[in-house]
Amino acid sequence: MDDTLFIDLEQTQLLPGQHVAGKILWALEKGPKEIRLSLGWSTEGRGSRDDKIEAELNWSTEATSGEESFEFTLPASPYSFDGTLISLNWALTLSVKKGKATHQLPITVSPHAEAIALSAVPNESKRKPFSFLKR
Amino acid sequence: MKASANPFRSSSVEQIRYALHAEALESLVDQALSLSCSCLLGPKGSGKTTLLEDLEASLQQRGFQIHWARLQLESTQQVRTHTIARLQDLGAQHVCLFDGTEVLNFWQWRRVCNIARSNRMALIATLHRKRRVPILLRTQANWPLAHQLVRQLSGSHYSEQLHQHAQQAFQSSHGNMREVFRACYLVLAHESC
Amino acid sequence: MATFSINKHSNSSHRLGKASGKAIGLLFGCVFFAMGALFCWLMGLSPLLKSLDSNEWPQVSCVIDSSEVGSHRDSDGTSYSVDICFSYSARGISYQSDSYDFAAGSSSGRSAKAAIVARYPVGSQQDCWVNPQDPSQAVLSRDIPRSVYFVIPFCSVFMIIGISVMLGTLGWLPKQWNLGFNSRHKRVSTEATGTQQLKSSSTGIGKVIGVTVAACFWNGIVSVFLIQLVNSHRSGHPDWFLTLFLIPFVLIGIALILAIFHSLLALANPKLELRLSESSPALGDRVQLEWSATKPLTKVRHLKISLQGEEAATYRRGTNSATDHSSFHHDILLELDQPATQQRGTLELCIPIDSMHSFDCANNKITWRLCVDGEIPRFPDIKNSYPITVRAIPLS
Repeated sequence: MDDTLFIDLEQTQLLPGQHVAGKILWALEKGPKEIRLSLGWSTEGRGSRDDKIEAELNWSTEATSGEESFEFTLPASPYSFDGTLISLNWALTLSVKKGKATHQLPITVSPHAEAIALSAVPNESKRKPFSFLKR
Repeated sequence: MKASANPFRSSSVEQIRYALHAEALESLVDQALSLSCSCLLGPKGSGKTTLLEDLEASLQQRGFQIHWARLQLESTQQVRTHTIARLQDLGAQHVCLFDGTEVLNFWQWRRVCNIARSNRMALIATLHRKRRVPILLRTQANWPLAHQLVRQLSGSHYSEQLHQHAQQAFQSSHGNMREVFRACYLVLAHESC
Repeated sequence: MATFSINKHSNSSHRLGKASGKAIGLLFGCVFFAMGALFCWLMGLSPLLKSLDSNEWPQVSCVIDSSEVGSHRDSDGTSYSVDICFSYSARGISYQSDSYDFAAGSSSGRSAKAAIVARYPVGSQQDCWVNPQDPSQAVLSRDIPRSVYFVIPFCSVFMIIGISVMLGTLGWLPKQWNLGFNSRHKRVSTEATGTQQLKSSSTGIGKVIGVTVAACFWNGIVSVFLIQLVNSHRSGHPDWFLTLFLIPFVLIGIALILAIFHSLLALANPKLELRLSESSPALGDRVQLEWSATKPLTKVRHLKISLQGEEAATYRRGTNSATDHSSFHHDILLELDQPATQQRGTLELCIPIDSMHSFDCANNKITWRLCVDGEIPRFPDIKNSYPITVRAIPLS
């Protein structure tokens, strides 16, 4: 039997500060000892990755299968966004202490339901060297 | 093109592994373990850090505990001193993978080697220039390999314009693969902007 | 049902410096500063001040008793000095002096000194200048010694290094000069902070200091070789290789000196003071921006105030890091041609509601700033930026 982890969340497009409730489900070959659910975000793009775990919840259990409920309140920031150089993505990650099983559920945290889109605009105020000599 | 969709985003680039056969990798590991201090020597952006990461998995399989030390040009003297001091806690069961030792001065580097010898641990460092330690491998990028990696990463976004920018970046940076990937990222990022 | 607990990732600061390390740093800094200051005074400032002071000295006739080029050999080689003895009378009393000018010590370059000695043959009658407060002190030349022009900037570098080491050891250097990693995400405050005058991200003085230090350091070193080169040309044995070699270095030195003047001129520019009715506006907020010029804007041909949002991403790998920037918002708030008639004003600033708030992490940042650009013909332009923090939309 393959190890299976699952996060059951009604909505994945969430608002900052929203109170969210859901369930985790697992079906494993061996008892996990501990199941961990973390809420966090990470960046992606041109720059090196930054990430942060905003909240974490642990269940100690040897049961090979089961389900548990959880609830949390999202922080006010940062928002999910997708720019030219940086994108920030939120996710719920479910993992076990014993074993390699893991499951990730991407979520969006934004006041506008979707990730904020940032498009590049020309930067007109870049300094031109010796421009003062031209006038 | 948005950051999360750009094929040259850092998370994709960092998944590239060093082009070395398994036997050659094992041979490098054998050589490194027989020496207290050894190095991967090569110019900027030639894959030294990537190869060091590849060695980690092989060393762990052999039962060694890996200690990573990373320094950059911007690392303060306090950070450098602290990084060196932490090596004192390592023993024969450890292998220290030290990325960025070229920023250490003569005395600091000598101290690192002395600690490795006295603690009987294996130290594998990355260096830009020779520093009187055995060289495990000299890393050097070449344009055919760089071109292959650019095609591999870009996938359906590959174009003649991308090829030209990549080649220009490779030549102007003297084979620095980071600059090649950076140039490709920016070309695709500003496409249709 | 279990609930989340927020992990508090405490970041305890590491006390890495030991007292002995600090003492060594202070000692090193003191020695550097003291050596620089000592040489600067003895061979630079003291002769300079004496030379300037001697403008009021009366001129007196004197007779040259002996005139030769002194030679002094040590481990560094041979140096030469102008050794001229002369006799004169002041207030009815006869005196003898051996000071040609106010320069201290000897230096290389025999030919220049030989030329001076040749102008003062033994037995000839010459003019000297006598210190009215101490008639035993007299010189044949009141000119500022040439070595002063090189010694002062050269020694200043040592003094600046010494001060910087001492200040750095004591932790008194400005925070932005300390190079270190910020490995934490700095969460943007959700609270409004009220009216505040905005601070420019860079002061002109910092640029002046930086350029001056660079110019002193560069020209101090280049001048050593330049003096040798000039002497070689004057002696009739020009060193053409050195001439060609030094050209680019001298050009860079001249550019640095011009850069000092440029940055000094920029200091004289009028500055704009900006005051926001809410210095940390939230997305979607409308705030009032009051602007006023510290000096008349008569020279400014074109003035622009804009709101800019920018992504900054740093990629770190190996020993290097590279940062790229991309603007995602550029809104011109004010654009004036010939703003001389308007010294102050009030604008309404609207932070777009569908954009991203400020974000500050180790490798990735979203920054917002107000930019002031002023075009001044044949003068350094006004170019200041005022960082602001844009908050997330307050939770209802």
